[in-house]
Amino acid sequence: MNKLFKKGDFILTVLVLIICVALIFLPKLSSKKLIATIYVDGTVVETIKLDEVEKPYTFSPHYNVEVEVQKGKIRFSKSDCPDKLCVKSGWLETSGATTACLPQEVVISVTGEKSDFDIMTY
Amino acid sequence: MKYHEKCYKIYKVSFLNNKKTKTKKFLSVFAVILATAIVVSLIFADYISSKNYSEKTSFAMATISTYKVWGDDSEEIINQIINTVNDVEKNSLSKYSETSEIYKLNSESSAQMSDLSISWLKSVIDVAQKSDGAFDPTIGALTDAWGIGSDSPRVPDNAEIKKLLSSVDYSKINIKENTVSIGKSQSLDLGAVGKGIACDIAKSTIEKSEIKKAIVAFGGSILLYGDTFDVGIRNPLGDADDVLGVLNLSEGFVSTSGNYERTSVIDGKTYHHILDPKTGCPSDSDLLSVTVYCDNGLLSDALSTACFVLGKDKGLGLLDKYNASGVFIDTNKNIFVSNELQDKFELKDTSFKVVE
Repeated sequence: MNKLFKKGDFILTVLVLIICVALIFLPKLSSKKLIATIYVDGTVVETIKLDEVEKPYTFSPHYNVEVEVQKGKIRFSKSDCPDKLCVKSGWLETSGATTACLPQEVVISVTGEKSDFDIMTY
Repeated sequence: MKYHEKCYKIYKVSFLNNKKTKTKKFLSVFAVILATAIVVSLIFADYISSKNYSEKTSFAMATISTYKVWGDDSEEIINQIINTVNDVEKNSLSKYSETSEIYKLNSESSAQMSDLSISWLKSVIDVAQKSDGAFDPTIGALTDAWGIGSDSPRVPDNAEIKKLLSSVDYSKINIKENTVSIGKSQSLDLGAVGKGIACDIAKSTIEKSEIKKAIVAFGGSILLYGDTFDVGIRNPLGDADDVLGVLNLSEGFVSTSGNYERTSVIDGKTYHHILDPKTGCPSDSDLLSVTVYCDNGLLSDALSTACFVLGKDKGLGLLDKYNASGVFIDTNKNIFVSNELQDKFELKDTSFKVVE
């Protein structure tokens, strides 16, 4: 082996570079791509890509219920239902998170993304 | 020898006096600098490449709007589009904002309108003419009377429908230079093509910039810019995330009209919101939805509504007049695809059938 570059030097450099590259790409792999689906009376009325939301906003998918959307999360912000359990559920921000306002029959469900198209027309 | 002198001697011997190790020193320092440079540039490449693409979801034209823009300044362009669309909604198209041209026209039956608004109006009147009234921008009062999709939907009685129908007549819209006038009892509504207009606005904003590739959607009306994209068509009988087929389309505009977009159940019966200007009632053409592809946003929106009212055969004839194409889905789950789109359409839900 060449006296200038010992085998150990080479291995060490490659190892360090691999670690650096991995550190850079690790956050990308765990990027969430969350989708919130809102059902009213069992029917999907809205799907929102939560990662793409920049400015927080609210809207009413159904009478007497208000939903608030922020980047990466969604929740019931207001409801006229008696127990307000839906509002008390708080923010949904992980895949699989679901909450419902049973009297108003509104469900918010958060899932990970899947699609074989770039955009949908409806 | 003192400790520090020992160190210096070792240092001298191993680095300074030996040519081979001088080169080794140089190379190892160089390697460290190179590695640092690679790491730093990889970190900044991520930052820079994220500057080259932006996605955003927002609210505009009373619907959810989606932006996917590639290029530097993508974020600024998105904000520009949103601001311009909001301005147009407030000052031109809104039926309720007092600063809106449409509001003034409807309250006084006459108003000055901008060149841009006049051009939109002329396009809309053209579709009304070519569709033989299947699309009519003066249907607003009738739409309001039904209130389908609102908090208080109702079925107006025949007398009321007949009365309101008498003011549904696009031929009574008079345009003289920048002055528009309509009949005293008439109400003009460009909201039906608002999403398409927003797509046109998005395109003209992007054209003035350095952006080369983008997808902008207002509800189901879409601008495809700078590339070929896959557009999913919603299954009219399924949920909002259910796709029955995919169209592979190059630059252009897409809009869809369907019987599922806005509905109300009154006395156990479901009514959809697209009224037939001839009958004054929700249209009854055996179609579940129509998707139109053409080179203009407003037209794609107006044509999808007109085709939905006209049905497949007359709808295809109308699309021909505009060099547009479409996908018609009927209540028997048959899909008819315009010739130009046949090799671009891929069926995903085989419970539907593509027919010739």
